[in-house]
Amino acid sequence: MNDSNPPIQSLRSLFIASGVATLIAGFVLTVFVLPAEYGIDPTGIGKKMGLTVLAKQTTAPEPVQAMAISLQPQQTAEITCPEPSDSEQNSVKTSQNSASAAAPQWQDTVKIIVPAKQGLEYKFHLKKGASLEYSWATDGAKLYFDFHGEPKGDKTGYFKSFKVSTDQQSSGALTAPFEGSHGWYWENNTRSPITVILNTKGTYRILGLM
Amino acid sequence: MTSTKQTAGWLMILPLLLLLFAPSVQAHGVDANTERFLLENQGMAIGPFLYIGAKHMVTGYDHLLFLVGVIFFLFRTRDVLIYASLFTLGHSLTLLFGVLSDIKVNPYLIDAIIGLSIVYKGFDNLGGFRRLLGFQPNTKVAVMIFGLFHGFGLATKLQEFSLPQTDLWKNLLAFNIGVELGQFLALMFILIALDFWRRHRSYYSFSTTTNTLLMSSGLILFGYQITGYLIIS
Repeated sequence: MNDSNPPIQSLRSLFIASGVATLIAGFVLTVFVLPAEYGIDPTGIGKKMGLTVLAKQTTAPEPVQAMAISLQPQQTAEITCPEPSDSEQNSVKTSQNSASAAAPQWQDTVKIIVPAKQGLEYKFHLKKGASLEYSWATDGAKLYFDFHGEPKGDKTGYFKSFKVSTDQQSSGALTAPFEGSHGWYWENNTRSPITVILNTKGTYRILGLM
Repeated sequence: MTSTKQTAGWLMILPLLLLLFAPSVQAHGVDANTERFLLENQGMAIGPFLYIGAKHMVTGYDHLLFLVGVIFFLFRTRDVLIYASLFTLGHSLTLLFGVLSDIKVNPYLIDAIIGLSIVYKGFDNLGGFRRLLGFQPNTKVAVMIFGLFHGFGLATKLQEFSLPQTDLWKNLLAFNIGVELGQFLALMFILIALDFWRRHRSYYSFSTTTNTLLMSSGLILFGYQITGYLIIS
């Protein structure tokens, strides 16, 4: 209990206090907060004060979050209910020797969304000498990318770039020169989000978005 | 009071720590978002998350208003500590639980409830419950329960950063400790201000006004968040 025995207000002053609190809140909300935050302006005062300008920025679509969504390998259909793949599928997989050279059986397919004016990394853990076959493509727009590896346990920030370019697609194979995390840094310099579909195959553990 | 100085000292060092890690990050030429993830990569996210947690609490006026309401009539240091600890316990539980089990509470709804917690405390300070119900609802239990809601609010803020799964608990713990540091710091300032005011007679004569305004602020926050919920969610 409080040791200062706060005064108990009379019923009348309680009503007055609650009423005044509600009135002030209602006034501040309708005149200032709602026009400025959401562009809701029943009184028109918000517009006169130029507050509704602020709302136009806030009611703009929320910036897209960076996302990686696991797809069924070789499935390119849009997924309706995305699930972030960060925590999924961390089991080490070994490549199956598929004889068909024409269309390689991809092991993993992931859809990655790179938000506008942002960069992100998607990585795999590879042991030294392990292989990673890959092929990725965007929905048309070009991305700056840096395909690189970082040695395991390295704290200096050292990384080795395998391929740096700006393109809408890239494919190839990597034999890891050292054990560590290998993958892409993609940077989207456009004003709208870009979707990357990445197909991979090899002996690796998915680390996912970083 | 050396502990306050130490806390302040630590908080001042944090930005410097961030600077220390910066060169290794710049090597990648990344933006601020990825920068965080890179820090994570190198297992050095403790500093940033401490800072984010502390900053969130110091600038989180909803949490602070509630705290003002809670300690408004607490004159003993011991009581302030007990209530602050209960609040801390409550929000730490749900912050950790919410993030670790990936429970996504709608941030508008949770912030609306936090607004109501401020209204509750203001009304409580006016003796409203004793007048209307004839008894005082347990203040300790109330602080604890509202602490749980505030924790979910903190969790939603942290979930806005797309948190990598690696070392999640470390970053989470750092954020939580940061929140407590921030709360401690903010509480110090609030207490100093209240203490100063309590020496004047106006404290009691204005207590009705203060708590009315507290209720009003809570209602404004509530209306703001509920409108957001109805429009956006």
